Amino acid sequence: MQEIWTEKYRPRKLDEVIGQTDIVRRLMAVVERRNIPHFLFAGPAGTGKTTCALALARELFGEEGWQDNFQELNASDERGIQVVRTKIKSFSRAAPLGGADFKVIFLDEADSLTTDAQAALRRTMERYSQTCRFILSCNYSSRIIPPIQSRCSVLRFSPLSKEDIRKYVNRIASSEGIDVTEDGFDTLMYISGGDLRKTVNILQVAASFSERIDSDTLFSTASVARPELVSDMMTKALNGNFKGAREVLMKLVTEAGLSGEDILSQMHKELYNLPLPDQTRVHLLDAIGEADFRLIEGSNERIQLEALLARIQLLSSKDR
Amino acid sequence: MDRSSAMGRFWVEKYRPLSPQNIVGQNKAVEEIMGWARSWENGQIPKKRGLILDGEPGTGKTSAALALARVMEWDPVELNASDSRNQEAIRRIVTRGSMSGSITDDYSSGKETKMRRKLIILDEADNLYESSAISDGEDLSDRGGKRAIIELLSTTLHPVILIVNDMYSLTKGSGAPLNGMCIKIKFRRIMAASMVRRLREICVSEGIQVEQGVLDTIAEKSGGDMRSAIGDLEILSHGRNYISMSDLSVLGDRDTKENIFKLMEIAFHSRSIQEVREAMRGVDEDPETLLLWFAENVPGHYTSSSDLNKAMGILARSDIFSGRVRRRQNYRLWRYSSDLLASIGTIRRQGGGSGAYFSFPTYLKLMSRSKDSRANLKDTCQKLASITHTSSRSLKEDGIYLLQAAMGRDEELAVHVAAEAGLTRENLELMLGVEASKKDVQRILDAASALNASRAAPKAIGSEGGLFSYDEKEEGSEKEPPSHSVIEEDMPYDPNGKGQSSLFDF
Repeated sequence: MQEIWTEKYRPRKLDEVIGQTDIVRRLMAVVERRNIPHFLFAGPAGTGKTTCALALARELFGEEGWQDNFQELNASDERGIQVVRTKIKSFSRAAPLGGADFKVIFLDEADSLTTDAQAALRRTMERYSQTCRFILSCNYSSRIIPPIQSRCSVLRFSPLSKEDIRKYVNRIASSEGIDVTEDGFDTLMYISGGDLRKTVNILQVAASFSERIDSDTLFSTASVARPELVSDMMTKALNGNFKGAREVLMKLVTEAGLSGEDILSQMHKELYNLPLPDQTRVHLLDAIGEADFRLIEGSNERIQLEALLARIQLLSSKDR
Repeated sequence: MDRSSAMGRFWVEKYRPLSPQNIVGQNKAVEEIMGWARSWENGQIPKKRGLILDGEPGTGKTSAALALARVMEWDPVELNASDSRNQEAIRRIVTRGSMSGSITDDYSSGKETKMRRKLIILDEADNLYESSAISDGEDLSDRGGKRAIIELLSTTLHPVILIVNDMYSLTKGSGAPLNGMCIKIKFRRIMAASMVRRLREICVSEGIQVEQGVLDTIAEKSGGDMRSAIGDLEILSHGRNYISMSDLSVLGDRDTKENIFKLMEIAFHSRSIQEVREAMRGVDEDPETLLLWFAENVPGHYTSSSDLNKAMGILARSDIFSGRVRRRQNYRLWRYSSDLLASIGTIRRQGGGSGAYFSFPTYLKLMSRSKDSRANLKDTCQKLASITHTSSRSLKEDGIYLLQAAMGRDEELAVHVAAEAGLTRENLELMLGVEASKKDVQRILDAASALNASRAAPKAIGSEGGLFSYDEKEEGSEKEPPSHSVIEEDMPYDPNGKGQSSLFDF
């Protein structure tokens, strides 16, 4: 049965986790004592935060029924204070099941919670700490308010080494009967930027094209799988085609359902994929940043984004 | 560079009348124009060298001037208010175009009987004076554009046509001498019946069928403005060859809302913020709605890079005030938002783009049309997020594209994901893309439900749940809650609670 590889190959046990040996050692120690503090997992995407939280829960509560006392929430989808007051609170105040001493809430991407929501979270963490422990994950611990940080053990996940990723990729490759060439692996690293989740996702798509995965396979995979709309929009604007760029923007908003913020962060990423002189890049960066700022103050995101496109097409005419 | 031809011409341009007699509903005006034109024949210079065409937008003034040039075989020289036009520019025409120029050339080439005249057309001449006066900033009566026009009319060897929406603003004050120097011709609002005939001709030529009453309604709604009627017809016919009465609902805004189109016309052409503000007051719309109208129409009316950037910059600024209104519920701030919109006409256009017609905002329409597909996308992403331990946000960004690519190529995977995430038919169609047939989707759905049935273990699929399955769990009773005792709200926080302090030091 073919599954999603990120789940299929996600380590079930702490000692199977790739890299992060220090962190794993500490987590195993708390499992030993059958009791954990609140944790704050900080680190880049795809370095094992979610995996560690899941494995920790499995080992704490046992393979059978661990899900009864474990709740995973993703804060980036609902980041207002409401989610703290309703879902988080109702889970944390309910007593643990099956004789467990406490339950665990894994709050992923906690740094996208608003400050108000974080303040509310702090009270919940205090009030129900007997029955419920929190594992918060974030990319930047600085975006978590200090009162929460001080109530958590902060563990910093470092970027995975190339060797670690290679080992993991090899494990998947031999299990799936695929062959990842040396240049293929380098390309994989380049595309995924060391994000293991992304690495595995891309690998799976590439494997559906060919059993032998080299650099070319991966580049064509990445182009199939990458949303082209944002780069298309930027290219059009850069070529002075405002109306064309605006049409793509409409598509992004109406069909792809992206928010203004989503679009801007994709534009920011795309900045470094587009073949541009650095000088243009800096101008673009400034324009995107300004638009992001204005988005917060404005009322209609689309107007701000269109104004950004207008500014980009002007930049292009100046730079050339 | 040639953007307009790449886009195909607007019908307003395409169907511009070729001879003055083809102008719809202005027979009397056309007669007078032709009389004046004949006074230029055989090399004569008439006493009144200028013609002022006065009338509402879309009544045929510019068309008449262009058609006249065509039938008289005069070369039209257009000077448009939207170009940066001032005293200097008019003087240039006076000296270069109207006094010397091709007349002497033609003489010297031996064709003495047949002079090739120019027709100097000053479009939107009522705006011209004001703007040049403002830019001069002193002694309006002597140094403004009116003076230049008067100069032009007294020295020109070529026929001159001034086109205005408001006769008075041209002939008042220092413009008074123009009264005696020009023949004034009034263009009336066009009768609906006359418009319908022309609209029907266009339909025939474009191969478009219309339901009974459609053209009448378009004509009525235009309020005597041929340009907007043709513009409406063009918009309605985009991508189809039959227009029914129900299609007209998109035009609905126009008659109820005291003519936003008219406001657009004023806003994009007037240089006076005050004038636009007054027009806005007559339109019963809040600044946020007006903003959509402006945003829709800016790109057509500001084509040069820097004009466009300036105009969009004003809109963005206006939007920020709207955002502050919304956030603080302080409607006082709306006035800044709308005044900024009113200022859009003050941008000195460097590029062209003033001739395009106005259209209504497509944004809201697109948003509501794509509502279902966005809801489906959201639903799908939430389901997938819960089985992959990610956020639907990051899925929307790129994860979903990877999964789509993989599921489209790997049916086993598609079945597994459909079962695990509990995808509906719509979800699955989204993931498999357009290449998948209905049969494919059905086959995968069947296989997925078979898979779920075979796994019918006590634990339901996805019971590890995400945020989204939790609500159901709490209310329903799919799982027995053995000891769901709830800790009381007011239970005091115990800083030395079990485990907490002793574990901090590991």
